[in-house]
Amino acid sequence: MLAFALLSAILLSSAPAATDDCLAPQEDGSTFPICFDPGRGLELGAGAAWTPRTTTGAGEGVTLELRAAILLRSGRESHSKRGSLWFFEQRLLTVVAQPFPVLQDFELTAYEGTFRRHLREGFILVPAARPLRLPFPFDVALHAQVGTVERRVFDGPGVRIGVGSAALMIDPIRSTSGRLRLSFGPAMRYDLRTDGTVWVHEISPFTGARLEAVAETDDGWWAARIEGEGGWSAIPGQGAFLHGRAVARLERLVLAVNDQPVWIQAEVRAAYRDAGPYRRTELSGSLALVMRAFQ
Amino acid sequence: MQFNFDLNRRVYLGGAWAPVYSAADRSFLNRYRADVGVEIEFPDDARDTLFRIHLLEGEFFLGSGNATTFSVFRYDWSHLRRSPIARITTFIGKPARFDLDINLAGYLEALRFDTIGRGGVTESQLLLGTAQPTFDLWHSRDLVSYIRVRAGPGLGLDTEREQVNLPVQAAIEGDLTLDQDGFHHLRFGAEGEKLFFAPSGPLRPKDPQRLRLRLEYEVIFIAINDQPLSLVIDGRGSWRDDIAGVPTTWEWSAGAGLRFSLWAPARRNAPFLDHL
Repeated sequence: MLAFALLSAILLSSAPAATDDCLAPQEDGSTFPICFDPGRGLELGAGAAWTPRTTTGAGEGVTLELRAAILLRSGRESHSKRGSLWFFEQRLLTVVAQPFPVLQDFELTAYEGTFRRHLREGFILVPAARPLRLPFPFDVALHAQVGTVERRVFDGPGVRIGVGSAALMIDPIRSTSGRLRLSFGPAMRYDLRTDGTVWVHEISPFTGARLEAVAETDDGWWAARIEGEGGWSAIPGQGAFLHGRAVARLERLVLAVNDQPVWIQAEVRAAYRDAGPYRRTELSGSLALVMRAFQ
Repeated sequence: MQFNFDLNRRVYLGGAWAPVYSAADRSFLNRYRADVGVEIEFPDDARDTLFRIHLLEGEFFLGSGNATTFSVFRYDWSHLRRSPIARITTFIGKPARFDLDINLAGYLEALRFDTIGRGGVTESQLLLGTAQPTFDLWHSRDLVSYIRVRAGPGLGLDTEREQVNLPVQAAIEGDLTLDQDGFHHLRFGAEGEKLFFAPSGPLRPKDPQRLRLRLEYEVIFIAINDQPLSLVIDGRGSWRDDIAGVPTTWEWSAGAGLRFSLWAPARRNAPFLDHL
């Protein structure tokens, strides 16, 4: 956490203000944009995925990974409560695919979003006879994810369906920008897993926790993100088990083609009894070029 | 009087001494070459595109190491884009922007016949047609001179075996007019070709390959009644494994000869003198 805070401080201190500094002049007097938003646009990526299975699971090697998503990020002042800000970060139709037969893998998530509300001075109101206002030095945030289908062809005939998940989080950084965030809090989720014959229901009724840490420079050249979720899930009639997954991502803007930015993205993914239909424990990673067009 | 000549618009006829060195035989084979052809070149109204037509072009090597290349029709063009096809911004170090001018054009050829005899064996191939995109690495402002790459498939007929094949060619080539009056010309090229779906046979591999290198310099040294006579010096190399039973080695040749050009009007961008 401390390391992430230090990284955030370094990244943000090197960023120019997102104003006229975002336009670079050319010799003929025209300008071109040099600032972009890693959280917006039509995302299209391709790269190499590295999958060394660590403890359990099938498959090992390097393969092509493709990804696509629609990213929406915005912020505005609350219509109903002046003086408070809303920050929205949403992903629609996220697809990650490894198309080659050796490590064939498809994952689709219909919707994922994080909503954070920022107050200038956070507080807790205790509605006693004489209302008591206690300082609350956190923003509040909600994360929701709906409709995930994961099919790992190389791992067997099974399927995982993430019906939905949600997390209520607090954010001690309380940034007034959507580009810096540290959110954590209890989480719930409902998953369905099948090995091709039997369906298993897994429910985590706020017996888990979620962490999201995001730091980006104002110009969008650098972006770092850590997301993790873990806890106990219950299988009716079988008991509970501990599981978790996390992903860490670092991005650097390298070029823009016709003003459509392209980042190089390094990602490390870890799962503990949570990967795929068979709850694999594994470590994997990828190195990819990612364009986020039509910002 | 005409004091400059457009050798890209002409009907030409030439001859040269063109010995070939056979690495297999470790000896020079004495031979002669006859050249014929028609070249036509014209721009569009906006001068953004230059079209080139080559008709009935042939080279006939006579003597030891005989070979013939004859092309009925070839059509290609160069195109000048007024705006970049892509603008690339890099963010390594200080942001910098590069305009990517991809000068994409095309190349078509129909009915080219190649035959070669080596070691008592004759191979013949008729290229029925090919269509290839071209990409000008560089071209002059008037589009006359260019260095380009092209690649693409075609449809061929092995006339010895009467079998259809799919030749795929890739080439880098250039045609440079070195002076304003069009007296000096440098032409060069490297072309690779693989014949897909060409069946193997005795001492002949499946899907054989051919590689050709060419460097040619042509200079006008006299004009007779406004028709230029030029000296042609060239060097060539070829490597091919499609001749059954003949060892696959490089074959090098050189040539020196004369070429007479009919028509050859004044160049579009050159001055026209009334008197000396």
